[in-house]
Amino acid sequence: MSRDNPPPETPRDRLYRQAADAFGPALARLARAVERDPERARDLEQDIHLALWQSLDGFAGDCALATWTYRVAHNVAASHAAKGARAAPLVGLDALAELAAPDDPERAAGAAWALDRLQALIARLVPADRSLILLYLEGLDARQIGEIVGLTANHVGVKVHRIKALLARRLTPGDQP
Amino acid sequence: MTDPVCNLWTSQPIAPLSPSLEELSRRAHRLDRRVRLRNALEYAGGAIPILVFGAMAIAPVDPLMRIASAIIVVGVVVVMWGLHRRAAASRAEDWGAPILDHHRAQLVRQRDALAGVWRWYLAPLVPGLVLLFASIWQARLAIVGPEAATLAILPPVLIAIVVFTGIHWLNCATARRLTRVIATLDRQA
Repeated sequence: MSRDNPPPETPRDRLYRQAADAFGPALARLARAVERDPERARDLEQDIHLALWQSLDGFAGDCALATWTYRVAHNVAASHAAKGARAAPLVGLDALAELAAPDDPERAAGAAWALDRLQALIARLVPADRSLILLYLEGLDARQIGEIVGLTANHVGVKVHRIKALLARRLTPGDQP
Repeated sequence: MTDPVCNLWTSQPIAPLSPSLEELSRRAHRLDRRVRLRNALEYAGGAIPILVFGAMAIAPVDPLMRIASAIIVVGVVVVMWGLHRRAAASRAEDWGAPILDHHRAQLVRQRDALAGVWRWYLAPLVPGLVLLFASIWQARLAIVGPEAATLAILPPVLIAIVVFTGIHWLNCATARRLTRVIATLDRQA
């Protein structure tokens, strides 16, 4: 074997490829949601990929690869957020629903405005609620979210109901206080 | 997926990274090097008092001063060992744990480290410092008498008491705040 030959792919490498191909966009969106600074967001995304790759040595197949991937990604993102400085104190879903939102009718119609607003809402949430809302936005159902977060599907269902109400109230132009 | 907000979220323009295995391997090595360097700096910081007091422990000075220095060296080694153990524990993250479990485990680890600061960070240094102050007092006693010797040693003793108590109090306050956060997490689970 020549010295330039890459080492043979291990089962961990194959699992990582599988996970990165399937969930790469979700990992990028997570990094962007947790870290607003683009350069730091790319750094966080790299950290998530690295932690995922390294963690797969301990993946015993007790849960789906999707569950494992989301757990690792959200745990790394939460640790990253905990280390960073915060402009405003983090709050839970209920408290966030009661916070007054700035009115900006000129931009209210655009998707970019809605996305910007959504990211600002997510950035204010405590880690567990932030993960819940992000997993909901990725289109996961209550059972999958429950497995990733560590809550029962019923509990997640209640939280998702609140998330939907919050998003409807805060992202629909004209409906907010 | 029927919620338009979910569609909005998943259709946002984004260019995901796709690092190669070689890139990941290089990043892992870089991180390892950074951790090793940080550890080396921490150990170097601990090595300075060990060298200074180690030299005093074998120097031809007052026997009480030599005993105090030797006990301070032992205390610093105990503190360094505590730091090393905690750093190793924080590196052994279970990233694949459910999010709430992982978050809780991190909080508990931080809370326990802070609540135990007196035991593993401050207490090991106390016997050596007490003997050090006693040896300085004893040395001054022979020259200036008991009153002047006591007045001279009092300010550093008081400063040490205030610093140690302050560190203990601040860490306990943060530990209590973390206990409340953990209790809130437990109620929500």
